[in-house]
Amino acid sequence: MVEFLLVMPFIIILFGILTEYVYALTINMNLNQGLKSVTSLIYGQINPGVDKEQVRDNFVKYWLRNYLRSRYAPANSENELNVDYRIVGEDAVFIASYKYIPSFTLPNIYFHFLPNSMRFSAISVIPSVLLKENIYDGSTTENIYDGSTTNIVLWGAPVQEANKHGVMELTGNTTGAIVDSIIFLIPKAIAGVPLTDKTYEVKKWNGENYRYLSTSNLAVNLTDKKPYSCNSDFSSCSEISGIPNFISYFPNTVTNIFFYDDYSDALPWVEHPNASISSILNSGNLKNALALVENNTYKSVGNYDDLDILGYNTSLLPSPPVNNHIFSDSGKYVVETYGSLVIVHNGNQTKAELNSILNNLPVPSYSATDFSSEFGVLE
Amino acid sequence: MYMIFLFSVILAFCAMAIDATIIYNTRMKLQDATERAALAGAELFNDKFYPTGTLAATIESAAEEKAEEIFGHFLFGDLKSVNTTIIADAKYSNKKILVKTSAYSPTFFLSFLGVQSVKINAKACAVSEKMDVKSNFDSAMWTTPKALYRSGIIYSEDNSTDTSISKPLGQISSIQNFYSASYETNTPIFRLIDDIDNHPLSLGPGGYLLIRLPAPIVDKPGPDLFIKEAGKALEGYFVFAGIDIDPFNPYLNNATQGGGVAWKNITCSAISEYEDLNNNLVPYSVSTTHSGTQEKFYGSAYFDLGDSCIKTSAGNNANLSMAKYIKIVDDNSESAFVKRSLGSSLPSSPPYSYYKAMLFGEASTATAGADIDAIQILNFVRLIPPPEHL
Repeated sequence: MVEFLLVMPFIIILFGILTEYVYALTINMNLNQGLKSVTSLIYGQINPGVDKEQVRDNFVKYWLRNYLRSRYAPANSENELNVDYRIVGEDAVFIASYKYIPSFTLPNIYFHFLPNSMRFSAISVIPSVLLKENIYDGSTTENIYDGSTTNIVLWGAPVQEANKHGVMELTGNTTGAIVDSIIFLIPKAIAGVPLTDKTYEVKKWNGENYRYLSTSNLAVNLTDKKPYSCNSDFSSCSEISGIPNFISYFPNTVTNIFFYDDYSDALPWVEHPNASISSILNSGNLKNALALVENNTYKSVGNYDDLDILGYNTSLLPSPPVNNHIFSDSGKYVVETYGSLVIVHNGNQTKAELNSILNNLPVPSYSATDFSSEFGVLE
Repeated sequence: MYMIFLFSVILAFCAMAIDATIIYNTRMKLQDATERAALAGAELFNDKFYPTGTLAATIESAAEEKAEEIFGHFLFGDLKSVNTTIIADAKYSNKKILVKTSAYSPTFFLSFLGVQSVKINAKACAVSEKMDVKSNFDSAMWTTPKALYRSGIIYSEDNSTDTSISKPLGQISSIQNFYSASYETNTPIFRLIDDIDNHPLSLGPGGYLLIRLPAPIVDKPGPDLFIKEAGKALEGYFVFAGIDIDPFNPYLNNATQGGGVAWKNITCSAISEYEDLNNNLVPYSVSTTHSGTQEKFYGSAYFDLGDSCIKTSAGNNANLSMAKYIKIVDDNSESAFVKRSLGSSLPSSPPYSYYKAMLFGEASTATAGADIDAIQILNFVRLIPPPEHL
């Protein structure tokens, strides 16, 4: 017992020294881990206009001090916690230094087995680009959105929508499902009549046979969305009474809708820097817009953009009636070109069936020009 | 006597504990330096380019040198005099770099037993890869001073000012029989934004998409962002990069805007995915009603945050180093670039010739607007379990 009591003070001193060393090493590890963690979170702190010094002082140093304190490491002024950086090429090297002052000073009375202080350092490297001053002086959230509209940003919706050539805008209701037909909408430019360049000639196709089904020349007025009956050259049109809108005129008929430009108007349908409209027309280029909606489910059966323009450029093909197939990426519809004739069908028809249909085509009663424009092919 | 023996044993164990802690500390720093070196080296791989042969070998050498240079920065303090070595091996083919290091950690008490130092090893492997932005990430969280919050498409049904997938002109909302292909009943199908699979999310005429990125886009050598616009008609859109105005009060959604988001149009940096014979696939400036002149682009493209074309309103370089948000806005125009397919002198292989065409009626189709198939953060560098060899 006596021996133990004699040795006890030395044991206490020894354990105190060991504790100080272990504690110092722990702080050293925390300093390393802290700098690594803090610098890895710099991306989350950056805001417009922040500069290098702000990153160093407001972010790295501030959060490192908090990190150490949260792990019971003293981070007061006497600990001289300091953070600095050096830009080395594309890298920013952050160096943190820290002075640890042992609190167990009893051994120092007798001998200097413990130093008065220990200095630690830690290093972390981040891309120097994170220290560049970001200048996001563009639009703020509020400026990008136009609060007065619900679905258009950056510029006025009404002006843009009025310029669009789609005529499917509808305000009323229809009563039936839309099935089993293709309708072509051909813009007409007829001077001196109320339905000027906002008029679209309506032609439809039932998908089973090539036949011009319209018993009269139908037109849609883009302004009131209603169908009109016109004379043969569309110089005179009258509203079909009792029809609230264009879609309601074709209940149970429409599956696929072509929007087709016959180039009769002067709109710049192709903006090619090296060619006039006439030269492009002569080249045989043709652009169609197409919506394909599956029966009953009303879902699109293919991406509109998946249609290959090549399919409409039949001047690339041998003379009629050699045909060409283009399948949609989804495989749900097929574009068939027979010379100047373009047919879009749902892919369920076999080639033989389609040929049978084509072999029984009635002789068109209109000119070749009409034939061509109706199906959207120029030669 | 027993006390002396006991005391010696305790002392020996304590000495070993201190030496072990010192070795552990050195090992931790060596591992940290090794990982940082691997990450820095992998940053030189670029997802846009796939060099082979000599060029690939040159980049591999540069990546290895970069790793060694970064490792050299760490030879400071505890690692200053521990006789370190480093071996870096980079492969551009899989965009990986393997770094192996070693050091001799000196001992303090163990030296009395003749053990002057202990050899410690570390290794790390980093890979540079594309990160697909998805509508929702199960595990990807943003760390902010305020909170953790989930990445994904920011959308609020009650208020469309975060994200608005516009329906086609003429859509019949009451019976939904001419609906956007990107809608399911009344909800946009955000899951269409995933990877490149030709199943895009069509923005609709003037529609837009606001995404909180799963990882920040940090400007690195080469392009930093890739947007895949699906279809053969290359449609137009604007791209804005954004960061929180106040990172301590981040933007959550329109209802909880925090400090708001600052935006910058980065479209001028766009480089088309396709090579165009006539160089028509370039950014175009258009006049807008609410935001002055803005650049837009047609089709899939790579974007570079650090491009010097991105200017401040005063005409100085914007120095965008990072972005947390991306906003893609349809150009609300029925036009697109299409591949020229007529003419006797047309090339039969890339580069093809593209020209601008009007797509009348496109705004009324089920896939109106730009068709965003995928959004990818390029050159996303991360650590992976290190193999023995690449």
